[in-house]
Amino acid sequence: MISLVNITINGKKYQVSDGITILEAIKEVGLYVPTLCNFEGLSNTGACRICIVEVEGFRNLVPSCATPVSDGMVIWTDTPRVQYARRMVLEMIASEHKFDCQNCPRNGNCELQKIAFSLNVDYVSLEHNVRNKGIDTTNKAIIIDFDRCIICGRCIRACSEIQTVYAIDYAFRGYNTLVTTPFNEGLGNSNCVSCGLCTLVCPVAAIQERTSFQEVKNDMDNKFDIVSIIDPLTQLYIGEEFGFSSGKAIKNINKFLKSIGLKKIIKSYDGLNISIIGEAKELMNILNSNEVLISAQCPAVLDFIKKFFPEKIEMLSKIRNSHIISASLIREGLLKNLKNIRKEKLRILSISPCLALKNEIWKPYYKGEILNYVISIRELASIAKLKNYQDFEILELKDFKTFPSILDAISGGRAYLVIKTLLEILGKEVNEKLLETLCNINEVKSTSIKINGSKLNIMVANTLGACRKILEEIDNFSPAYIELRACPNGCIGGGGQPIPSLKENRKIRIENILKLYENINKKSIWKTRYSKILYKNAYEKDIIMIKGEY
Amino acid sequence: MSIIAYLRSENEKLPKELFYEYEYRIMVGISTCSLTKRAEEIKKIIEKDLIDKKMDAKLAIVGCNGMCYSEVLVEVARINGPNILYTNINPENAHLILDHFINYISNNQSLFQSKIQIKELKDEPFYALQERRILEYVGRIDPYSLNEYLMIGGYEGLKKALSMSPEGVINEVLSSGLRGRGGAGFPTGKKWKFAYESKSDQKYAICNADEGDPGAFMNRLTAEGSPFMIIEGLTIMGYAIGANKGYIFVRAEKPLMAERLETAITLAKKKGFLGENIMNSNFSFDIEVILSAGAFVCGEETAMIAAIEGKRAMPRPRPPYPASKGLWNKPTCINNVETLAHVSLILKNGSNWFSQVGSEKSKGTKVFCLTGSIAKSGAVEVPLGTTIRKLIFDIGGGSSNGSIIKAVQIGGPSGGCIPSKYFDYELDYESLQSLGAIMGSGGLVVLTESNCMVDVAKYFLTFTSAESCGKCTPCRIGLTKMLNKLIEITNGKGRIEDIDYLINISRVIIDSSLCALGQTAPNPILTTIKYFKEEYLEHIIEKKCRAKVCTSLLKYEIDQEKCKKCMVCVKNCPNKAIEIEEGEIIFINQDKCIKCGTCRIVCPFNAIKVS
Repeated sequence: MISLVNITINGKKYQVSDGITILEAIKEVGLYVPTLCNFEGLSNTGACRICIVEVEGFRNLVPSCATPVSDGMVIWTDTPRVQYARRMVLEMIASEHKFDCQNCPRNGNCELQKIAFSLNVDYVSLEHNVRNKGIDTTNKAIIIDFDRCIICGRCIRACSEIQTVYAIDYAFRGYNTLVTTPFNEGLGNSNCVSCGLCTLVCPVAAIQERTSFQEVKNDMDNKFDIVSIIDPLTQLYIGEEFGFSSGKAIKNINKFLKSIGLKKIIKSYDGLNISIIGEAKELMNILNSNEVLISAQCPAVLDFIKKFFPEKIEMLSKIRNSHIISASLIREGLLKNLKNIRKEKLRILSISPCLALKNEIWKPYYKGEILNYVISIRELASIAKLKNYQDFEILELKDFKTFPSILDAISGGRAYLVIKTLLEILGKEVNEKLLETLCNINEVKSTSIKINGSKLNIMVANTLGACRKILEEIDNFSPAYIELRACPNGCIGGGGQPIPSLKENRKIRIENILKLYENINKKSIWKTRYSKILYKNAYEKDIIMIKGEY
Repeated sequence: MSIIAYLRSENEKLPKELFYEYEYRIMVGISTCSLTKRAEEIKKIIEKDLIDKKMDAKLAIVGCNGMCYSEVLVEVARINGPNILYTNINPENAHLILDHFINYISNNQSLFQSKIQIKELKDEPFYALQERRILEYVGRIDPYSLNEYLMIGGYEGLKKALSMSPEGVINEVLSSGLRGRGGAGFPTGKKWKFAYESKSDQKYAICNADEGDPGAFMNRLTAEGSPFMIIEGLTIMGYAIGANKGYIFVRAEKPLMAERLETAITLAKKKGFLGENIMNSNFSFDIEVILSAGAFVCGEETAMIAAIEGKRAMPRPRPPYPASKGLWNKPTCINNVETLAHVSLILKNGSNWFSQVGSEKSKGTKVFCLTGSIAKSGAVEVPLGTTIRKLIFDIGGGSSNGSIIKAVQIGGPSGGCIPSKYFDYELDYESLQSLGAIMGSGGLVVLTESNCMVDVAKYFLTFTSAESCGKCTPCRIGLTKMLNKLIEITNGKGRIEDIDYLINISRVIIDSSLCALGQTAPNPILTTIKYFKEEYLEHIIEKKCRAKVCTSLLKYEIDQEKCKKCMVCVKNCPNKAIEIEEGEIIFINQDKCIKCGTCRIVCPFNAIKVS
């Protein structure tokens, strides 16, 4: 039983559960205090001091996010003393922040702006002083703009507490404090695996994706043929950046893409299908052994294993990333509507929710020669905002045509599809209960099935912290198929997704995907003739497996 | 400076055991401070002298007794008296000591009258007006010798503690009224009780020996002079709260302190005062020295815990308090060096003995470090409740350069400036708070007419803003904003509204910072504005610095009537700012002058005016 405590907020008496923070109590009773360094799922450090409130009997103002309620507490959220201090603290933050809002991808979706509006801070009385610490551009996927950074520490906690990567932390003291990598050597020289969770939790745009569209434009100007591979999630979620609810898709995404010069567009399903069939066949080969197969589709997980579990590299699947396979299909001329392209003038762009892919395409086994650039859903939305593009129309989910591999977008979806395909190759049917077991909001999911009398464990994890736990004990699971995803709940929570990408957003996104999958008539990838033939052609051209070592 | 030899009185006689089987005991003060004055060389000279003279003597290395103004200190004692403390020793005059002592015994001191002045120590107010308790044997016993510590009654406290129940020990500390000597003055017994009441399979006892205040060195002095006393105190704390692991967090910049503590731990372990089953009591306790990277913010318990855990030293919000969730999330109790030294004595002599001296709410003695423009700088132990006047005039001997003392900065960078009109206030935790300062660690910087109060505030703010851990906004940004404003004022660019700006921003920083660093850092600014507003106004309105410290506001000129055209200033000016006009008039080119003051120092005729 939860015990209750009596507290008074702004003169009214309430009963709230014991042990919660003052901030939680304030929210519970329907009141508001602004917050900045507080973020769902992360520990409370009380760093920014925006959420300070007055508690009777306390000498100083207390951070509501980090102070637990106690019986008889009398709390005031909006006294002149609180207002004055809160405004001054916000002014302090604002006075150090580089206000280049007109160039900032978060303009209009910026938490600092929102708090300034809510506190009526229309001018800053403290002198404005940007530290001119520059930008860290050592990573191909993520940059840190130190002058935009307000040192709230959310990215640090996301990177350490959720992802257990510890790529960034505070460095230097006092006024010179930076959020940066060890020895300030840059993200590209650190443990960073480019998952991009930091970019999702950043309240401003201090740590953000590295944009690639300028390169695309330059190549367009130089008369290259740009083919775009678009992830179906783009159409589903880009609307969130324009205030459409997560339940809706965008009708005319191609019209927009064409308006910015991207003429040839294909969906990413073909690559996905081939990668799923490929993994199913790999899995078939280890069925009666005692081996473990880890899906290598998530580029951040791939980096994570390389950096933290190098001894597990041999367990990785050799199937190329699905977007790379799609690009290879284009290059080999295996796609119907793209037969007549000039190979020497071909450049391939991928639009995806993934930031780590920006890094992955440059790995020695791809060399940037197959897929040339990646832009995220969020970057695409920024382009639309900059162009003031207004022609997006809503598409109801039931009218959204999709394929079974859409399920790959959620954590557990790939494992389900791979197992289903494997069973179908073997002439069996999957137990539909497996879908429920694997495709839900949980961080870790595990089950086992029997194939021809032998047991196969299936482990699924999302967020790198959960992946780490699986990897630490991986030897106990064999034989197993393991699907690891760096981002919370899989690609629907990807580093390049629209902001906010909170738990409630992700929950709706998962429900959407499951609904879409449910509405598909032919749910089999293997039993589709087109996929089978495409797989066979791709196999013959040797574009399914990576060339060389990880 | 000539040697002053202080004759100790009969009641300061050393215990006989300290002479071992020798007739004489010679004690050379070697600590971080005296090492810079070549104490090692002095020791070698005396060593050789002893051999030459074939003296039957025990030569001991001891710590420093706190008379920093007359380092190096050498004490010579004969088993049946006398006992003489020689001050101002250097390698050049060290050979005189033993000769003098021998001649003194044979009543033949006239030989040395010109070189050695002899006085009674009880007539030296710096020493006589102290109430030396934890410092009693600091500077007289060998910090590397557990035996000597035992000879002066060391480990009696632990022995007594182990014969009591942990609750009994806590009650003893509680009833003594001891309050933490590290800053906030929280009752030590209460703190122990919280940690004792936390149930856990593992608890930790920590001694904070990080001492980061500019102008405070009492912890280093105590630990270098009597390391076993600290270890004993920490062991008693461990027993009381139920911890079997202790840490001493020492600044890496103080290697001698760390070395002496580590040696003491090794010796205590060998003799069974640490380790398994201490003194057959079934209580086991071990201590480890942790070298800190040196951050002022480690005075904040949670930041220090983070540092011991190998993380960046940053404080976290409390609750949970370390008493319930501290090091490695286990109940942890933290006291500083001086507090633990008192603990050893409280257990040995009883809580009543401890509370005999002190003020109503602040019992016992406290070590203060006198620095700044004071005649006798050093560490002194006095009962709490002693007036500032007694400390700086009677004990410290007043100002060092004859100018008038206008204020003291107490409590280091987190403390405040107290003007002379409050010098009759009794020093304790409450009175200091009422004046806008804090006890802090007990550093006392004496400021005279030649100190600019705006510059003093700027100095301390430079320190705190650089030492801010950077976590919370008010401390990281607010302090820097204030510092920038103070720099503007001292550069003559201040505006009248800047004073209100400083006060307002200070209030917000105090009210909303995460830890005590931010909550106290504006104190020097607020107190200097409160008590010395006229100096701020002079800087802002008249663009004048009365103490002639703020160089941007100074103008160097040559008094043509006094100038004899000797050209010394022209030769010495580093920026060639002093020029000669055709009519052979020497003048300072104000555009080139960098206001270094060299010309004023070198001018033999006092012809350089500053305005």
